[in-house]
Amino acid sequence: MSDTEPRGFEPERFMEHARDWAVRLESLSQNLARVIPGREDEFLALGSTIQAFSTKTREMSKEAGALTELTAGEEVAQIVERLGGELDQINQTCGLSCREADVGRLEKIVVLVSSLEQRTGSFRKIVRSLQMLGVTTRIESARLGDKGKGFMNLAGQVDSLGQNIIEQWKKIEAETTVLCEQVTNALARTRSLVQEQQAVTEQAVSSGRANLATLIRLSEHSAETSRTVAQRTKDVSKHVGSIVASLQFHDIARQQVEHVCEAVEDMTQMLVPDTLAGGGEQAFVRMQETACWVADVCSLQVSQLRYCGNAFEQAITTLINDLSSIADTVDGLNRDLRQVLSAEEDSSGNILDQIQMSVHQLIDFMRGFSAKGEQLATIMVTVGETVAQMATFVSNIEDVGAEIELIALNASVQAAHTGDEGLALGVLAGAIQRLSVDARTLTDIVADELREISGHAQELQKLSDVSGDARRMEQQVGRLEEMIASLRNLDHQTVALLADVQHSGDALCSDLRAQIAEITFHHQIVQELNTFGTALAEVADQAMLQSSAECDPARRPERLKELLSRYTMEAERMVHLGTDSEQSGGTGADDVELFGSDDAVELFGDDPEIELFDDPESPDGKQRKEDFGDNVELF
Amino acid sequence: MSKRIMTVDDSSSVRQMVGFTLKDAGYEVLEAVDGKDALTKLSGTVDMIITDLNMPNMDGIELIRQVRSLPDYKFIPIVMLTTESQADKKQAGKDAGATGWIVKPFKPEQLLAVVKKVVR
Repeated sequence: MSDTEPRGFEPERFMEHARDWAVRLESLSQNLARVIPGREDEFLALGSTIQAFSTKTREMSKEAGALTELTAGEEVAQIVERLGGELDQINQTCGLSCREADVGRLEKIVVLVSSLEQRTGSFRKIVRSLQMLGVTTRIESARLGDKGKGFMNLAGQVDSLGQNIIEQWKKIEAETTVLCEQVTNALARTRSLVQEQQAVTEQAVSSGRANLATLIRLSEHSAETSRTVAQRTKDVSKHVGSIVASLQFHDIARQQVEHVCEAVEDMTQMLVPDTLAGGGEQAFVRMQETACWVADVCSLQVSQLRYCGNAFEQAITTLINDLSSIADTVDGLNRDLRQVLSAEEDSSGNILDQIQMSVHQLIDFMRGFSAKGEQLATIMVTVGETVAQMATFVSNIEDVGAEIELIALNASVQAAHTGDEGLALGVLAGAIQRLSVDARTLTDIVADELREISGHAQELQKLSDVSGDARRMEQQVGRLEEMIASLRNLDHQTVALLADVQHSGDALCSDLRAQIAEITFHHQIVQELNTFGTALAEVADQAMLQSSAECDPARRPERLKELLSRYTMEAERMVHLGTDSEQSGGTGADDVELFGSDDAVELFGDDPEIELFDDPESPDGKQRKEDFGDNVELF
Repeated sequence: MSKRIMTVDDSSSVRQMVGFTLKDAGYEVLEAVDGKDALTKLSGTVDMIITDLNMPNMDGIELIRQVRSLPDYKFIPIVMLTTESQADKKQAGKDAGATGWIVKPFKPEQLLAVVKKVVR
């Protein structure tokens, strides 16, 4: 301690000290008053930036909402459902063209042709019988001599007709062989087509269905991701809203500092020489009381400034932490979005490509199938022509049968003219007649079978035209391609929106980081407040030395009570009371918890309790609990 | 048509914060720096006034008294938004005709809840 420093109450130098305190306090008050208002522009700029962040996050939230609507919306579900329906119809169309029925028809023709081949034996039997009857007729005719001459002619005719039948039947046999080859060939081709068609259709439809299922899964995943993105951007948006609230701390700190300045100014007024000058015991007491008052008030203002600085710094630190937290959230969101974007580009587009490819394979096959169907139709035309040719031969045989019948009738008449001797010839004529009936019956059967073959051939010819199916399928493919194009469009929109959200997030994150780095003014403010606090503390210490130990502490609360009434904020009052208590041996101002028990400044308190309000709508005028918060009251 | 709300505060940062909160929620906002400025700007349809208490030129209590004397604004909701939390001050506000009292610091959603409650 130097010689000039006071060691206790110095009445002779008190006025000098008072003047010094007054000068220092006046200067301090003037400079202190500028600390917070001087930073208002920076604070407003910060407020504007945070508002811009809020706007950006809201835009992000809207984009994410649009994304959700797009991916989880009705449009995708409807298209996917219709796509499934079209695949079903394509399957059905392929089923319509399925050659299984044709195979059955061709197999029937094969059976009929085989039956025709078996008829050869029956015709040979008739011809052999005719030949036998011819020989017998000749023998009998020779036995009768002149009476039987007419029968020799009959035997020649019978031989000739038998020969005729053989010739016609040989032709039929030859045509039957051709027919058999044609039908067997057609049957083999059709069976092969059936197998190929079944395989291709199954492959295309099952692949389409598998891809469709993958598309649905991707769509659901995409919708889920979009919902998560939307929720996270909404959370960020809300967080920014709470940061906006912390901007009030500039006004709160300003008011607190103003109150300190007012207290200091009032104190300065008390230090004017007129009020303190004089000698004697009373003057000394007044001086000591004034010194005591200066010490108390200065100490209190040191606490107020310390609290104000801490609260302000903590508020801004919380704001910075919140901004960092938002930046981290947005960063995480962007990482997710990058993954989703990458997955989207790899998957949805590919799936749609695969569905389109499967369908195109099917339509290409159907076009080839149409050409093969035409080949089958040509074969069936030939079958028809062959059958028609065979029908001619059968008709010839029928004619032969009619002639045999006529001959048999003549033979019967001649045998009757011959009398008893012609009885045997009469029997032969009867046998020839029966054979003609057998021949007619057989030719009728053959003709029926040929008609049946012809009917099947005509039907096959008709059904072989699958161009209608191909046309129908091309229409279906056209619709399917439209749907795929719509899905592709939706997919592109989704990717574009995801990219938009990601770009917005990148820009926001970058702006947030830049803004965080720029927020430094609070350190300067706190430093300045601390400097002023130190200066006030020095004055308090000096004043304390000049105060007397006999200075009535009982009067201090009375004096300080007046000062307490100046404070508008609960926090200020608590600091005041805390300091006062400390000076009286109670709790220090630093121990006073203004906003809760957390180390960080609690801006709004986290008590979920609801404040009671006088609700004007309440008929009995009773206060009703509403969720406004404990700092809100409605009268 | 959006509702018009006048915010009266000598602090630019509070006007900024309140203005942003209300505009963000779809309200139209008129700003005044003190009671006197508010009376000058009070014209046409105004659906609510949110005012600070301690302001230069004219404080919030006097502003309420003046507004309540104007026939067109006699029943307009007026909510005090202030750092003051003392019961006698609240009573003074209530006596002057204040509709409600919000102590700073407050959350934007608290302000909006009150606005939604009192603006009809």
